Amino acid sequence: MNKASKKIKISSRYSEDEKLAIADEILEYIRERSRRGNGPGDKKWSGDAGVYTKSYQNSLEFKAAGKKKGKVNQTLSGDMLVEMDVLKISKDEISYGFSTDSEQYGKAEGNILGTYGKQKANSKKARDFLYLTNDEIRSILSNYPLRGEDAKTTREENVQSRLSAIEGLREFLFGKKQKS
Amino acid sequence: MAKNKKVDLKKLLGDKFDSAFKKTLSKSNMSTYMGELAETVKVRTRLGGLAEKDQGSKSKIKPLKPSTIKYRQYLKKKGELSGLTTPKKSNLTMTGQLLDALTGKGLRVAIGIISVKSTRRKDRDLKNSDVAKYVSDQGRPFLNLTSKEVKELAQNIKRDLVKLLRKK
Repeated sequence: MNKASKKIKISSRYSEDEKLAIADEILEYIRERSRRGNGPGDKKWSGDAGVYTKSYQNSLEFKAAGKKKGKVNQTLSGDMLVEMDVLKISKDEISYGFSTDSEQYGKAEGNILGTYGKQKANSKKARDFLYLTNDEIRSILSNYPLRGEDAKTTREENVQSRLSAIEGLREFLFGKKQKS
Repeated sequence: MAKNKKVDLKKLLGDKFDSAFKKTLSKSNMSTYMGELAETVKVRTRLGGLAEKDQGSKSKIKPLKPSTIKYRQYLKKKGELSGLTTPKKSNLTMTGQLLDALTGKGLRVAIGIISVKSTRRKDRDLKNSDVAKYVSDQGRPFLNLTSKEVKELAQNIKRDLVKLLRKK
């Protein structure tokens, strides 16, 4: 585990496909949450983390990217959120985030620790955009229920819709099925 | 119970998948995706990046010639250089007209286009589309998409496709 990655525990009863779908849904959720300008718990960033520094606001790149002062959304070029990925899926865990060899690792780590290119971490400025609250994890996993009358059907439908979208798009874009 | 089971998801979902796919990639939705893509290309270019080839990695736009820098310094003094650049920054932004004319639209299912409109420029008797061709020919092919831009587009389409498939 590096500083720009997270691990969540899941039931070992999930199949490989179910784990894959859950992992993909986690990434999609974090991307969308971040783009809305929200952090853990789908809440706006608060305190120092909720505002950009004056020097950043006045920078050319801030203006060139058309960023808004009141929207802290981990998006300058957009590359970082796109590069976030599933790092490992094991029997009862999903790891996601950025591998240390990712070109976006430094940027992600800077956000999470609040370093932003400096040596010293600053917890007040830190934006741990990978973190999911228990409620958020529960909400994602509720699409893949393990108990209840229709649990299996619900799970299968959600896995099928997600994995078929991934596979269908791959097939459409590349003309053949590819390994993930 | 067998250890492995091959599941052809497209076959399982059948018509439902095809209709969701067509709906997601409809001409009107393609216009939205292309509009977003045009914005992404604008931002990437203003930040000084391009892809030498389609779906390539991002690299810096080649530096400006000293004579161009001099001219841009002159424009800055006159207050005519865009606020989204500096005299030395190579980001295809002098007055800002070229990138402002970049637009995207859907043409038909799964096909869209991003292009620079043929609007006439205020400063010279030229069209923005001519300037786009010129700068591309001069080694600044800013309309090539980076691999990450294509990935982002695919992620957005997948997100919408999943939403539709779940609704049904």
